[in-house]
Amino acid sequence: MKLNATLRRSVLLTIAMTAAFVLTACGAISPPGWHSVAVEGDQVLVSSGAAVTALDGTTGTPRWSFSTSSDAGTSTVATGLATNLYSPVKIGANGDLVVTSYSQAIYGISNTGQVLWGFDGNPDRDTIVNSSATLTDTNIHFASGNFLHTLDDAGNLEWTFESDKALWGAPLVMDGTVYQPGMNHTMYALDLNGSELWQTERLVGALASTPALVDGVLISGSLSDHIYGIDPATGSIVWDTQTVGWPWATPVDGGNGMVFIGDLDGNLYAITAATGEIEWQIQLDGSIPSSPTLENDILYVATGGGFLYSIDTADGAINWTAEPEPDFDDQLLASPVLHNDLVIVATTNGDQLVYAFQKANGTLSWIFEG
Amino acid sequence: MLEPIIVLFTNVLLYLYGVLNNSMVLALVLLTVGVRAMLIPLSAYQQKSQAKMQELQPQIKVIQEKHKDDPQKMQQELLAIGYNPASMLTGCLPLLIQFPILIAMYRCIERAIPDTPLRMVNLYNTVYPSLFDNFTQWVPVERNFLWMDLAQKERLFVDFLPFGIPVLAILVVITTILQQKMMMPNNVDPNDQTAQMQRSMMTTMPIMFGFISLQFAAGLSIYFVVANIVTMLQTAVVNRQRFHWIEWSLPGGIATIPFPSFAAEPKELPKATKATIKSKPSAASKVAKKETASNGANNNAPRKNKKKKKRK
Repeated sequence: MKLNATLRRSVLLTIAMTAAFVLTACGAISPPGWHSVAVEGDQVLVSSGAAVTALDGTTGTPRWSFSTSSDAGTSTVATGLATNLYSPVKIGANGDLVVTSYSQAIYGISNTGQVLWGFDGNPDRDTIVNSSATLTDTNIHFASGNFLHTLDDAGNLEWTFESDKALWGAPLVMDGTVYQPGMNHTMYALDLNGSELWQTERLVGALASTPALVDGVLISGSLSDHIYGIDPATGSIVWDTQTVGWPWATPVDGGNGMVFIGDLDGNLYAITAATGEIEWQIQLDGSIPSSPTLENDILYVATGGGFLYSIDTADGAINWTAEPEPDFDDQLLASPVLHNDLVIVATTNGDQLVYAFQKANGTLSWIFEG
Repeated sequence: MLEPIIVLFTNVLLYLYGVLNNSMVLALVLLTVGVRAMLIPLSAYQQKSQAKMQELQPQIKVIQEKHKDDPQKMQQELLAIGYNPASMLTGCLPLLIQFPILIAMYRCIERAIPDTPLRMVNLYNTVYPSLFDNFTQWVPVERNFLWMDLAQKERLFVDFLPFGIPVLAILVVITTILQQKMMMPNNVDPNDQTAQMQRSMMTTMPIMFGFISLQFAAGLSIYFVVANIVTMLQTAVVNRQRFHWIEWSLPGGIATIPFPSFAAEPKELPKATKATIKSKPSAASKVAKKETASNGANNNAPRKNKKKKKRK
């Protein structure tokens, strides 16, 4: 009896300690996602955790939901625990949606949430998809582990390019060339069959996000205090501009020879695309890990400090600021999206996930509670 | 609450990574050795408490039996032989302290070897740039070692098996068992609760650490393995005067192997005392009460003196 009681206590202690560890370090088993929003027609598509939820764009009312851990069962891709989403849903030319997840898998779904196809992102086991997909009229390009895969619009593999390190950023596909940023501090250029055209020298920082091609210069942020201007024909460095923090996100083409990009120290830069010269620079509250969204000379910028800004592109003047959740520590990590007269952001708070503000003055229109 | 420890560990780990020619495994090993070295005073105290408990167990049993109806008296006598249940409980402190350190270590590995963009942002907010001249040159840190991705669950895939072999989890289980076995008395009384507790922990702790190793990043399993090896070395040094070989009967009786033990052996009670307690517990109880009243601190030696006086 004594032995049984002792054994029982030990077993209980072990279970309690294991449970406590697992709960305390719970991010480990299922890594946290990067909540984001996208707009398709009149609906807003919210990526959070392992699910995509479609909302009515005007009212924020939920319409349908797709989960990578349950609804993907009809696809050919095995599902598992680590299926969180790291990027916004991409909308294809035919209206179909493409969802990339953390579990090597990429899904094609209809705009009502039905699974159309699935593709197992990586022949190498235990690697992950970190990039969103880049869609063209005929193809889907996405990075997974060390690989860049190109599929046709039905999810069939056409070709694969392999790098010696992970690829986190989605490629830019323009003028018949695929520009792929690499975590090995190198930018690759490939033709549309996946053959390498050139690669840059090893740069100071890793390249983690999609570059932009503006005024004949390929512009890329990096995980260092450098923004690079690259010759898209040869891969040589045209200019190299110093920043305060890491300019992580994709630069936004201002349409007038300017690009806009933020850094992780909260600085927003307006840069001349041709020369790399900084025209103006302002400090915002919190990091800027996502690209600003541009419309009518107004930039909408979301920050890791939990603020949404409306900023004039001419001089960086702040029109208004909104803070979705002033009482919480939540961050706005993904780019805002625009829908009619609304600017919509996703927070890292799973309970009050999406906020829609009026573009004109930052007045709150609706909230979606996840 | 753990954030300052996580930040410290992460910066130290990355600093070591830079110093050690960008080897994350070596950096993890060195950090683990450093963390365990800081815990040596506590774990040495725990091992001494454990050894003392093992030595005193026969006397404790006698006293508990004698004074089972008089807790106050029992307490007095236990204190008199040098056993203080409260201070013995503090012997568990190192085990409890290890738990938050384990969590901090995991979080540190997760941050220093980011496998997702969100964790990379966390790393950016964690490092002290002044510590590192060329930090951005390292990013992302090299997280592959042999077949392992240190930021992912470890499995060794071989062509002829349809599943991966969790090599590190197996190593964690083995080293945890060996580490515990070194301090486990070989022959224990089936009624000795402390020893029984130790035995059941010897079963459950390896399972717990094995389970965690199966589920979490390979870097954490490396921490477990190195920590177990360091603890074994520490046990051998701190308890070197107790070194002896034991015969270890492996589970299922498949074999018996010699194994180095550093466990304390229970101190034998005088034969007379044993006999008295076995045959006449009530009489023994009376004798013990008299002895305690007259002698207090040492209830073995004075008993002999008293008998000698009677013979005279």
